[in-house]
Amino acid sequence: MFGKGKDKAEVPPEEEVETVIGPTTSFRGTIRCNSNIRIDGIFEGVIETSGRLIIGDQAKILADIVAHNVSAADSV
Amino acid sequence: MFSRVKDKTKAPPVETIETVIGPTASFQGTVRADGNIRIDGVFEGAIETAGNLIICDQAKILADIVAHNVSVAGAVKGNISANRVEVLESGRVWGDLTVNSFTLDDGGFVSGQVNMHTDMSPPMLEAPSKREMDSATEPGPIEGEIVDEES
Repeated sequence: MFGKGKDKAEVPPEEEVETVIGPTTSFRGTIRCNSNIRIDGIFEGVIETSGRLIIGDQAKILADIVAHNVSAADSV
Repeated sequence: MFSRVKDKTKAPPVETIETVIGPTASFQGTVRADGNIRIDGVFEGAIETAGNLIICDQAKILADIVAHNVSVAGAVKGNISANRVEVLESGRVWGDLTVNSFTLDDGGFVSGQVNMHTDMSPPMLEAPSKREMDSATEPGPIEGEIVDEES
């Protein structure tokens, strides 16, 4: 019905965010992931994902980023 | 009529979980949070949260954990300090627990010490004299006997 199975394997759909770092969360270290990541909190380190990275407007990020798509609402 | 606490913790409303680490994610480092955390993936490092921590059955965690309540359905290697720890049927823990309350479901696995936040002296064969009660640091006679048997 939604015949996009092949795309899904490579780039997960926008609305499915598998990993979320919430606004009160501060993380220091490395993330490796095969799906979408959304960050609203504080992150320091390295982010690597084959999906999308969404950076919320409250987020503070000091990191090297490798991702398929990056949408940033705030400073990186 | 009476809602079971166990069911509640197994399926908490998604809105209240602020930080989610998905099944394909692998984290290395330190997390500090005020809200609830749910982990489905691989985590290595340290976790500190003022909220609850839910460790799902696919999760693999090598970390020391400090949280309010911890629900373990996956594998954890590391020490846990929390108000309440529950190890569910599929949960496995290698490490020491420091808790106020602790439950272990049938099939759950724990390898380590369980300590309580409040200390309590063990029962003694003879009622302690008043002098012994005053010097609470001395070990009771029962503890001494157990050590002798093991050695």
